[in-house]
Amino acid sequence: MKWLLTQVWVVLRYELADSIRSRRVVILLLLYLAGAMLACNGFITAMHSLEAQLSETLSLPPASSAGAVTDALWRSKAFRRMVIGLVGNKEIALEILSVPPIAVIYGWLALTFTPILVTLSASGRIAEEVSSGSVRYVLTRTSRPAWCLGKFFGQGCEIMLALMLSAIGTWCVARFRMPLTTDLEVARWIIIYGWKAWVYAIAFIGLALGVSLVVRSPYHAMGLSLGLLIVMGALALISRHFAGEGWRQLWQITDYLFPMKHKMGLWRLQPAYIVNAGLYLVALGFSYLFLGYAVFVKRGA
Amino acid sequence: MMSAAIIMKDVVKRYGRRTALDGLTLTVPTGSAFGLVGSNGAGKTTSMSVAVGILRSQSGDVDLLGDGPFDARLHGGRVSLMPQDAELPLHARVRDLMEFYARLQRIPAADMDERIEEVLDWVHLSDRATSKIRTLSHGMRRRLVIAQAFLGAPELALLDEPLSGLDPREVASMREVLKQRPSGQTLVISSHNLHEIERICDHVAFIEKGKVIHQDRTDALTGHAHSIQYKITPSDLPMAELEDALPEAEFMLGQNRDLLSCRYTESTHDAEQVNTRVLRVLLDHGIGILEVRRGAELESAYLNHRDTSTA
Repeated sequence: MKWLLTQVWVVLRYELADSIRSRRVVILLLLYLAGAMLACNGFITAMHSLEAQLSETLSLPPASSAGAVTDALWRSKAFRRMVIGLVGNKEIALEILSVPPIAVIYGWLALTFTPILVTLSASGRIAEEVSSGSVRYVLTRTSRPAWCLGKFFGQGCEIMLALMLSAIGTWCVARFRMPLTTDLEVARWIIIYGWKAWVYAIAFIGLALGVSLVVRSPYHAMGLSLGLLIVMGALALISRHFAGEGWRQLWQITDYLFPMKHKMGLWRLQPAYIVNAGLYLVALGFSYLFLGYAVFVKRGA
Repeated sequence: MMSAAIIMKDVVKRYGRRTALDGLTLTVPTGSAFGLVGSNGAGKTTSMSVAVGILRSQSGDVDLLGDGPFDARLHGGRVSLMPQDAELPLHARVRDLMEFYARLQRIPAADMDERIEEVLDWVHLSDRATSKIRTLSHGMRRRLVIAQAFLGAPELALLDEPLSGLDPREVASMREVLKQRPSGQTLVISSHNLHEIERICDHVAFIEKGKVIHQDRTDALTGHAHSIQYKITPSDLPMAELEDALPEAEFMLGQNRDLLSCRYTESTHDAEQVNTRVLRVLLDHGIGILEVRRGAELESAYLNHRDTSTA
């Protein structure tokens, strides 16, 4: 076990250093940072314009900075009743309403776009080494499990860095644009959602690397991973639609096999829901990776 | 009894319907420089890949260094491979990559720099240690691939076409590197260049259609220890005089009367004795001697065995 952990650590470190050398991780980090900052800025601009319209309609003096009206609205009883009605579940609605709006927006962005970015960045990682043959220099020195796990955790670290950087970027934009309402409590919530998005990403890292273990070309791996992402999303929707009594319970089981099912658990604030969703997502990530690994072992490098 | 670095027994490897190894059986003695010779697609590369666990065989047994089939925990760092067509990661720097391999091989941190410097020095790449691999020429990359195979002085190194793509100066230099390997280290070299195999390897196996058709010491295959060949100007030879000079030797004249083969037994004569007597007879009769060589070329031995096996 000690040998395996040491080898995984060596591969992980090299994976990170290699990504930096090849500028892959730099591009990934910039993509996350720019995406988060632009989205946050866009959201605040849209919110400010809505607030200005609202003030004009109500013949009120315009707010000096964005977010003041939204913050008041977010806390108002009428709005909360409306959100409870929209969500259909008082518990979940109140949980969401207890979080600062900018953090909710960040969480939505991170949970929506991280799977795509993970697929783009991780799906070719193993396939490119298999296709160039450079994997052969490594597999005479370490075991396949150590190499695959090192890659998996290396990708996990990259995504974590990217999400944390995007969280900091989002907070900085919010702080600059909404100085009155952006405090350390907002930063805490943004970071919490960053972590949740990372847990969600684990399942997709497993999927991308699992596919990368099955095909030899990095381009095929990326295409197949994106295709699977779309198919899984569609199947998750179909499963939810057709799930019911009797044999239709099978759809419910199918739904559990896709990460999308467990995203809602990450939105919750109670630890039991988050832990449950997190365990499912980690298990799914390792399962996808293991399925790819089984093919890789049988096929050879 | 001589120990074996590699024992492969009845190994079968198929790619779909195509059989690459068809019950291959091979024994590589410890400490030998072992040549694998065969035509394209004969199974040389596949047998190396199966030996080090890169590929899984459908059946058969493999034993490496007496510790069973390849297991990274047991063999990592003790066994190395120089694949034929595999590229090194192009964006990596030479030293960074070697350090990564050294760490995987568990070379102690205190020795790491020295070990890396040693192999880079062998292949004359010390001055390119901080270069990115993509900036190296093709020949330099090939030398780096050889260097990684000798990092940490593995007990067994499998080299697939190690000298291909090198210029003549590099070939000569690499040949010396391979010849001056640490004692006890086993080399397995696959090559189409039979001349190089003959110069480097002390054992050779001929592989055809996924099977070993013959395996022996190189000098036994070429007759290096019991045969001398004389390339002469076409002449009628004084065979009776030659047989008188060496009664226990056997003489054969080639069809074009320009190649005289003399086979002798080591127990009755040594090469110098044979040469002295044969040359005296030939010179006495004014026969032009163009070339003298001990044994036949490995190429002839290989072609003979291949033709026999396919007949």
